[in-house]
Amino acid sequence: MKGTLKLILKFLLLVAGAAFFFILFPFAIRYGVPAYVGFLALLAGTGTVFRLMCGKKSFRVTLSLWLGGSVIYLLVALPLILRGVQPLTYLSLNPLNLVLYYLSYPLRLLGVFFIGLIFMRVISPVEFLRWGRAGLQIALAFRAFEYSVNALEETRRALLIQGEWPDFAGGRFSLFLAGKAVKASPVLVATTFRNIILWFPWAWICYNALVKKISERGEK
Amino acid sequence: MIFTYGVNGTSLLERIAVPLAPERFLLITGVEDRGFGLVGGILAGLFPIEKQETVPQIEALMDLFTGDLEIFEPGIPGGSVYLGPDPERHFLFSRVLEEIFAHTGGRGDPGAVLGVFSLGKAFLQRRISTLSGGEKMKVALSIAFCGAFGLIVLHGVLPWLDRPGKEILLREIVKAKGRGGCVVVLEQEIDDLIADADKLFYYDGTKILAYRSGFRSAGMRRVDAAAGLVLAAGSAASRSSGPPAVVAFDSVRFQYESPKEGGRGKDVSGSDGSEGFSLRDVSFALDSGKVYGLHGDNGSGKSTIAKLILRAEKAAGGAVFFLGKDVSTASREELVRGICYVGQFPEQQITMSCVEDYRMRARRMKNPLAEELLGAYFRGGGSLPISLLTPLQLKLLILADSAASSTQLIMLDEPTWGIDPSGQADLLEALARIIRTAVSQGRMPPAVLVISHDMRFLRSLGAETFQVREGRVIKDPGANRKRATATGKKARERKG
Repeated sequence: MKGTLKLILKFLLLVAGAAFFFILFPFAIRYGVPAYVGFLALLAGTGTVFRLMCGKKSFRVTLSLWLGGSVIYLLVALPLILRGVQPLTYLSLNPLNLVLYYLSYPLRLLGVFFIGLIFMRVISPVEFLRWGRAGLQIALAFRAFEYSVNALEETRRALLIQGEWPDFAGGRFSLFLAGKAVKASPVLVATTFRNIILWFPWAWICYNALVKKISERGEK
Repeated sequence: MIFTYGVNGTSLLERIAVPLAPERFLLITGVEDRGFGLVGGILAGLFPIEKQETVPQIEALMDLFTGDLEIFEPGIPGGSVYLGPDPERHFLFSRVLEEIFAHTGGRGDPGAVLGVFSLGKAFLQRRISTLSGGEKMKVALSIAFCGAFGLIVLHGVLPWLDRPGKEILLREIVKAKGRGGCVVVLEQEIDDLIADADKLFYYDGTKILAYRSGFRSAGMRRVDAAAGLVLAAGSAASRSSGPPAVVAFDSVRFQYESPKEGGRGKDVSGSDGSEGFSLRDVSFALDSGKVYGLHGDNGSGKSTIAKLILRAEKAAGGAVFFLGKDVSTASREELVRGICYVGQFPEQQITMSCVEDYRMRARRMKNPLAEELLGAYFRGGGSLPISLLTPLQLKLLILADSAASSTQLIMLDEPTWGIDPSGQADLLEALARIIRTAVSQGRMPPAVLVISHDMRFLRSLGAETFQVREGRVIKDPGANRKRATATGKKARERKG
């Protein structure tokens, strides 16, 4: 229905991207600087693809949320770095790699965000319908995720109108606004979750109605 | 169909009798409470659903849908479809084409499905999230009317439709009836439908009664009286001098960004749904103390105009002025202080968990007007969860929260959906309070901009109306102004 790639291929791309950014990265440490350069190049490439496919606004919101989360993460990570706490149980990192590992964590998470959101863009939930009722449930989960992305944007807009979210209009940027974004991020995320919870009962009712309709049509 | 419905031992609907039959069009109007919504869902076989393990925030909401239904006389066979007043709720998929595909099983031409409501084939590739409220409703209606259902139940869909949409809906209802179906419409705006309905009923909050015109007239009188209060409050001080315009658009152009794959955007489009959208050359002004109406076809850009004033979207050319200042250079605080905005989906504006949180915020922000409004419309100290609020309560909550004595512009986007005449009167009375407060503190009365398809509502407010058409805003002939003056005069006489 959407795009020419097969569903399985899209899944493979998702898994490969997530694996590279999150799971395999620690193993690349042994290759030193080239591994980091390669990682950053791939992150920039993925980010560019995401920006082109999803638009400036989505890109900016993703970066704002990521930034908010990263600041909170760094507050937690800093004492661990200073105390030299080894993050991996299967690998002992030298001090430089240890710092790089901790600092690269938000970047790897950003890579996973990019890959996941690109996946959402190239896939169509209707592709899952061929898997019967299980497929329909995946479609519902998919819709819930997409709704959450939309709800996030709507909530951000609501917070902006209420003056709670920083207004970067006209390319204005300052540390104060960045700090405001970090401060408002938890409210944004919590409100988005609340909106998803409120949305779900009706989605569940629509889902059941569709299941009934499909079974009446005699499809499996 | 005759049924009784109760939740946790409490009866909500007692022996509701709706004479469903093939080739019949039934029109039900009445009190827009939770029961009214349940009637439609039960008739269509949507409720009750099985009990679910749920989270505490929506336990009470889920209880409504998982109650005890006792049927004394069954409905009609042949499958059913239900559309409720919130178009956000009708979709399970990302794109219009996917939604149609899932509902039709891929049979037939999806373009023909949209053709029912004169939506072009370009809509097929549109993301649901980029459609305007009215466009969503038209897509949902197209899907509903393309199937051969024994029963079609529509609740509160009319406020979303433009004039051509309303005409098509009526035509499709007659066609569905001709195919042997039964159509039940639960609606507040019944004037356009009444002539074609086979039977008309009134829901009084507990039971269904045969309709008498007296049922609604009290509510409509309240709307007119409240509209008079709004006008009286605005005109009381509008004679004094002040800034030239609260809002002014000067040759404004706008276009949503259009990333590949149709990502965000094009929620304003041509009637064919193509990507050739634009607000091309928008120039108009809103003066303080006056009420304005903005109407136009679905997807013509009405809500976008509100977003441009709020600087939630950025103009591609020209300038938008608020109190004489270009909004692109105004501080966010100036806009927050001066603009009170209730969007078409108010639940999306609610960022707190319960009404009590809003009361506390009003106290913390030292906003006595918000406190007063919350006290008037949300009585009792209990914590009322957001999940249980009706559309009217959601709108009142947002109105109260964003109103302040410094408010200079009030914008209501599709304020009448999900609200009965009595609720409309409540909303207008709240509006009048906000205006009176500004005037009593020696400020200019705010301008009011109502974005709506409900021309009766706009007329009752005596609004000066603008139409958004082909990317421009055109002022309607001044017939409404005469009514405004007359209604305002009457209200002043009543007060004085």
